[in-house]
Amino acid sequence: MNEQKKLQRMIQTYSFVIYETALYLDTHPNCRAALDYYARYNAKLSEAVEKYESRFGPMTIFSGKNCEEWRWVKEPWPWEYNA
Amino acid sequence: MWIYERKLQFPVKIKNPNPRYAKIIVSQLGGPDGELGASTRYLNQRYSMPYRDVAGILTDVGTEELAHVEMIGTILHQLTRNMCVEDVSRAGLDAYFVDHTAGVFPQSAGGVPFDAKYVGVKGDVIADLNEDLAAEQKARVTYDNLLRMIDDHDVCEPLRFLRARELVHYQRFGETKPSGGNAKNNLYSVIPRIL
Repeated sequence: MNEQKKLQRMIQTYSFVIYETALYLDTHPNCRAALDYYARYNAKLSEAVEKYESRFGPMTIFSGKNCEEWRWVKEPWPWEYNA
Repeated sequence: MWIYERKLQFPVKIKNPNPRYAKIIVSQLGGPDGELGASTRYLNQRYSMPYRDVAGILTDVGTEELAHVEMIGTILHQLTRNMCVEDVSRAGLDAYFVDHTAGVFPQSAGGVPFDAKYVGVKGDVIADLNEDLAAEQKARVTYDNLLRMIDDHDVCEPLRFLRARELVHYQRFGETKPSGGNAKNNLYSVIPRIL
């Protein structure tokens, strides 16, 4: 697995942990342990996303940097077999 | 509003195209218990939901269902890539191919196009939440049936993930007890008054 794939997988994993914890918090909004868990993984996700975007282009339309070309339409889309 | 994130919720990478599998998996896109109906159902039920925490779970589960719509679309796209006309005929995908080529179109396994009647919105807390609990179980059974018929690790892994999500969503909907969860506020123990 190359560096881009590894980072992608890491972002998918952390995002899943956060989403799952968020759904739990929706029905347990005062659970201290879940709130801490959420915060811990959110920090890990931010770090991974920052690392990914600095090298492989924006994950969302809001996270592009001012650069020579519009990378958003140059990279493979997630549904492509070779993405 | 919504923002597109350039990733699937769970990886989909199917080595061997197989239009026969696409023909049945399409039901989880546009069939009676598919992901498109699920996301539309929850995101539309939110407006008349009087409890903020329940509206929250509808927003977040409805949003996750959109990611599942994308995963199913990806599975269908990868299963039908590089088809020749013979592959289409052999898989019995002729009727679909005539109308949609290798495009991803929301319909049931039986060929019925997506219908808004799959989107249960009654505007009533108890009716809507019970609709949602049943919907998650019906979607789970559909994944069970697909997993019984499909024998390809690359296809089964994302389907197993999606099946597991139905169980979690069912659990979360079942936990919705606004205002602290005492018996008086347990949504599922309420006997509605005729107005």
